[in-house]
Amino acid sequence: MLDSDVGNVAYLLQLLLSGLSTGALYALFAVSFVVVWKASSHLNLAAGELGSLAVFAMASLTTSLGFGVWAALAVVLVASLGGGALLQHTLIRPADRRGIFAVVLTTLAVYLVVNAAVGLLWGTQARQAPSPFAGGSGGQLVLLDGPPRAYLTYGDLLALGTLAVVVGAITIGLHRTKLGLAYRAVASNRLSASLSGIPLSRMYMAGWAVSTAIAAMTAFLVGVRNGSIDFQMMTPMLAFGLTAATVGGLDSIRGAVIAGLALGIVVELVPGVLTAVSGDLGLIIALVLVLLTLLVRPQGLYGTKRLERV
Amino acid sequence: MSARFAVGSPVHRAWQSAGLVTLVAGAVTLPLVFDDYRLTQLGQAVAYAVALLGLNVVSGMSGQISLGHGAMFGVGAYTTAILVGDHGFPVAAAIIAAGLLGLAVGVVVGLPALRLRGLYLAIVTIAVVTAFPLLLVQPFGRDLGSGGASGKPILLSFVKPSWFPLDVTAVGFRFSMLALTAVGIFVVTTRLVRSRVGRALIAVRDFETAAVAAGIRAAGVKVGAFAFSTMLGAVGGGLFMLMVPIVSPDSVGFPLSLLFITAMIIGGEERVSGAVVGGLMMVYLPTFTSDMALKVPSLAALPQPGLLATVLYGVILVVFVLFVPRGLMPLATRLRERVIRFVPPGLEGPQSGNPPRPREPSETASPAVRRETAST
Amino acid sequence: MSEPLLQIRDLDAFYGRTQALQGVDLAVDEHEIVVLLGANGAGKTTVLRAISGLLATRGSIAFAGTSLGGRTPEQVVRLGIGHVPQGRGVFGDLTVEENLRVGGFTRSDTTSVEQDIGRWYDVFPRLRERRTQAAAYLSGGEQQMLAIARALMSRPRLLLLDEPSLGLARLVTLDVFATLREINQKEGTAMLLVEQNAELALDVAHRAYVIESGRIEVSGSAESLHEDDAMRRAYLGY
Repeated sequence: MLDSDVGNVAYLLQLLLSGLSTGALYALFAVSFVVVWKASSHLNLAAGELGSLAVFAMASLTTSLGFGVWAALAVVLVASLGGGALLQHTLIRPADRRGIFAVVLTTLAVYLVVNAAVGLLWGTQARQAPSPFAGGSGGQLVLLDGPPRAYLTYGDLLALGTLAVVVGAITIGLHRTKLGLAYRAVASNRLSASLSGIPLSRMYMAGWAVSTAIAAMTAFLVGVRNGSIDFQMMTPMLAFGLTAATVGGLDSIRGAVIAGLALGIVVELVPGVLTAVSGDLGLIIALVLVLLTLLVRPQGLYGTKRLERV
Repeated sequence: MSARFAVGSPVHRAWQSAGLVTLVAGAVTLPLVFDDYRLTQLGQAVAYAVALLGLNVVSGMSGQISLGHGAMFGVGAYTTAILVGDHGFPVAAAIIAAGLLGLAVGVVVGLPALRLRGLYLAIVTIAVVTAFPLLLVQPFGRDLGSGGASGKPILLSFVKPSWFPLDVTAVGFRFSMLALTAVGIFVVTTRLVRSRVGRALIAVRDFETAAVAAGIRAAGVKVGAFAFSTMLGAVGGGLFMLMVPIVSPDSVGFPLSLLFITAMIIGGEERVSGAVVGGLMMVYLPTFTSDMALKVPSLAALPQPGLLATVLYGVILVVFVLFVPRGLMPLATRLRERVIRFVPPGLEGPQSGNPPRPREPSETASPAVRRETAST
Repeated sequence: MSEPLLQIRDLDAFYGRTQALQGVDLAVDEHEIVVLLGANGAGKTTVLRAISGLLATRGSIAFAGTSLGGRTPEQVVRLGIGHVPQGRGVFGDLTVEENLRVGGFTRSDTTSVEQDIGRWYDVFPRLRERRTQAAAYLSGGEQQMLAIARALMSRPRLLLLDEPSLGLARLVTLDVFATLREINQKEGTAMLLVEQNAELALDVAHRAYVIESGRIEVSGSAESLHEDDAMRRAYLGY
């Protein structure tokens, strides 16, 4: 039943490392859901597609307009901030008057339009991902020389580093700034926040802006990891990101990070250790985890509120 | 607002019976009029409509959103193709088996998700619909006979039997069978919706707390409705296989779910007739847009003009959510009701007595999309 | 006589098709405590929600000569109206001190915000003891005091209080009302107090209104209502 390599430390370490770096992407994407959910109890199902759009725009900036990768990234991150705010302001706010499901449907409409638009503009074939490293993920940082070797690619390091920076920045922003305090107040009690003079609509816009930028960052890192990008690249990520967010608790950044990393490790370890499990069953594992979470602990590992709009 | 489930009046009954006769006659005689190409399209629309009917039941009546219908459709299509092709099942038996499998999946998925209110079902069904196509191309799916990434062809030996009186092609015969089955499903579902069960569902949707107090087991009713809906999704997928030769993993994933959702919103989520409109749209809108795209040179030059239909779907979806939240069919009904007015017995709100206490208008459970003002 | 601080004229409000308020006229003078009495569902909370811009209404609401029509809750706070919602509405997962700081959100001068936090700690010493605790872990009375202090952090000229006695023991309620009286006398903050507990509320108020089924039925000085036995039995039930 167990894989023959299971006694090999380097093999296990490698599974763990690769799980962690995959998990960093899930975690990052989950954080983008949590940021929106915390304040407005909305699910931005279009986040991944907006991320795809951003990374394809990056590809065009670098290949056709001669931008450097980092400059192109900066441009699309700023554009994503604006786009997220604009989306909230123009479509989500009017939909919100008709209830949460109308908001979900609106994000799905955006999903359809953006997904198809990316396919129309850039074609449906995979193309080379914009990456700061040669050949996508770049060189390796070898931790245990093999065979088998245990290593992290530069792309993995970038993913883990980005997760740390983003989560650190959000944590500091939420706990050390006036705006962050206001955001937490909105998350805690919308009515009281509004009666304390906090402009809810601007808080929501800020949340959608940050969430969309994080989604763009995620898509960029997915591209770096895979070496290529295509117009469906974020669809499986949607399921992984939502799973991590749900398992962690949709209003908890910490939950999203821990659940995302854990999900990555489980997805790598289970097929790596058990020979009975063959093939790429990550999404099925994710599905089982979501169902189990809902059965056992619907608010998630670190969530405080149930997943319903109060 | 309850006029949609109007029952009882003789006028209404007569109206319904006439409609039913027309549908049955249409199912049988259309193959005499249309060629195989048109029948295939129409048959696909009818199969979609059956699946959409299921989506109506769960969204319109229980106030929840399922994003997994693409997978349910796929479960039905694959089950039918595998049972018929690999195991020699008769088509009818295979479709029934597909429906039962859909029912089972609905219970497994619905039980954890529907005990809870809110967006749980949406999240779980997204996980289902993204996992399903992947499962098909994995060793596990291939062992079951999914045919992997290239898809599963269906080998139908379903030809016109000698007793069938009309001179139609094999496709025409299949269309008739498909359409008659669909009419049967619509009739049964309509009855169910108007039965005590259906009223319980509406009660749960509109006033969950009160319904629970009145002894309705809200979670049970919702899981039942959801399982019924996934069953219809699977049956729709099975019926679809009467019209198409092959089903592939990329045709039964999240994009199909989104098309179902869009079609449901366009038709109107609360009524069975909306499903037919939605089904027709799912077949004819892509044809229409690709025809249009070919006529405009700058669009025809695009790498994938077929995706224009998807853009259009998205635009339509957001327009309907924001401006026509009840869909097309209620609009049509409102026009009809100017001529004939059905008075629904017992389902109208309180006519007399004390007005209800002022309460927050915004927080009641509701159909997927809330109407801004009450109608009628 | 000068214009009252808050002047409501002919106010109608609707929840869906149900009319919640019908032609409400109500005024609060500068430095005055006014109590709005009535049974559950009579429309008391609706009046406060209408003032704070949480509800679309017909009619006129003017505050210090400015019309409040069409204003958002944030704008109303900035004009100088604090609102302590029903059920206290503390930010449960924020600390006591963070709750107060949120209350001062509309003010840009951080040093004076910090000074005010200290000032309200002096008025409510229990809050100082619990400054680093999450508000959810405070007792009901402490939460009510926190909610009041939070609303005062915006330095309002008028404080709206929605059933501060709800869920509190009588002694705690007495304490809360005594503090409100004190704040009113020291700071001159006008108050519009919505209450079911007529007996205690009339003690603290200068004037009172009684609302029933969305209409103002009685108004007068607090003493006159207190002494009018027939009226008391008819409307206030004690």
